[in-house]
Amino acid sequence: MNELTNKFWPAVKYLFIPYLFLLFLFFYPIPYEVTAPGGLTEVENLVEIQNPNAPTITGSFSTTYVISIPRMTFFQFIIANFSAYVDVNKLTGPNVHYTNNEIIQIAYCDKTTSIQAAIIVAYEHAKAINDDVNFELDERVLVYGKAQDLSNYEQVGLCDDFVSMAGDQGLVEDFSTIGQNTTAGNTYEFTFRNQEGTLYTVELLKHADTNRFGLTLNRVYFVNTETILPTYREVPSLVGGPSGGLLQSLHIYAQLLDHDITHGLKIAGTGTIAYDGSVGYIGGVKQKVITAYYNKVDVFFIPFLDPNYAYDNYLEAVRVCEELGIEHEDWLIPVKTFQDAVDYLNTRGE
Amino acid sequence: MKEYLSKMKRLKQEFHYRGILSALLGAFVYSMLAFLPIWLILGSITTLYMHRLALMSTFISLTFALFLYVFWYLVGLALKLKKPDHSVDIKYLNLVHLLATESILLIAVIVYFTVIMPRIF
Repeated sequence: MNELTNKFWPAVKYLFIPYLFLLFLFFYPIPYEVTAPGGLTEVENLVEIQNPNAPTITGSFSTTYVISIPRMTFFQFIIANFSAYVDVNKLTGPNVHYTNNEIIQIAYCDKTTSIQAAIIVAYEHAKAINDDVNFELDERVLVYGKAQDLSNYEQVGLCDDFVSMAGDQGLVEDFSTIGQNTTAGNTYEFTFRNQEGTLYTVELLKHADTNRFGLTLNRVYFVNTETILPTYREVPSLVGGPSGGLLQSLHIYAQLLDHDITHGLKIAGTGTIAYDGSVGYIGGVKQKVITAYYNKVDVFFIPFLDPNYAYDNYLEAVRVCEELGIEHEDWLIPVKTFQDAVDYLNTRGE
Repeated sequence: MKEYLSKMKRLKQEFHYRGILSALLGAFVYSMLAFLPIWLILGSITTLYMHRLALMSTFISLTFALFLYVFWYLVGLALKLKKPDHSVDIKYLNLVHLLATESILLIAVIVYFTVIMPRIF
């Protein structure tokens, strides 16, 4: 060690400061968010439907993920400027005060509820043609956001279940009545259940100036795992976010039929899914189109809700394809609902 | 193999464990100092070019191969500086070690490209 130090020290001592500067460029986070093309995740790697009568699927369904870094480094900022495929935006909205870890937690929460919505939509549609399909729903209320002024901020976990609260007129279990059961300036006991199933109680203040607690709660539905038929298994993955909902529901639906609806196609796409089967807008359209193109998919489903809207995912995707010289006829498939996608796949088989 | 083992025996006799470990540590520290910025640059670029993951992974694998070459070169250099009048064939030993470590790297790269990459990404 000493011999090498004696030999290299004259050079190393001059490189010390540039080296530290370089490390600063690599590790110092700046309040900019980067969105870059990512990859495809085959839905069969996310959800397994245990249906012994499932048809042999000759094609595949994949969700498209993009790389989203909430607080990029200086070096990534510099590199991003050299790529036409990468978008850089200043962090805005609630993400500004969330830590990277909290943003990831919300993304995983979104993925979990998205898979549940996908199961509900797929089973609902399959139930109409397959008598063996059966499911029941459990209603849950999840913590989806925390404002900066939330009292005892650290004690409330994102994606935990709201159980109840001790209101002015007694125990409140329906979260929509919290407002009428509380008074601004007072503190109330809220009970939550964390993801390990443990109940905990936190005192939260209803701020006098804003007349709110600073907590965002969302009502979501989960399928009852005891009664659902066929059963399913969610596979842990590194991908988060709700944008895979449409493709997840198509994959699950395909497993519940008696015939193959993929027709050997490599099917990808994007779009959230609502419990009624309607498809919702997503972000990062440009990066998703590029990802799908590089991965040579045969069909790419994308939300197309209304041509009169100032912004539409499909119209943006068409613009991106034209910009990059990608042939989008019969490749980019606009859909408004889950049924639109199923109908399209059925026409491919004719 | 016999030749290698006898040369390793002579290396231990001439430099002792302490000297060999010191050379290995020095080589590791200085090769890491040289390659850390390269890996950080490639790692940062890869996060923005995930759609070119195979290409970026190839570049990173090549830098690992180069790292091993530099590492074993520095091990040899440290040993030579420690004892300029040594009688062991350090070049031969380093070549064997380089080939062995590069082979392990090659297996790891093949496993990454065929098993890990398609499953995770």
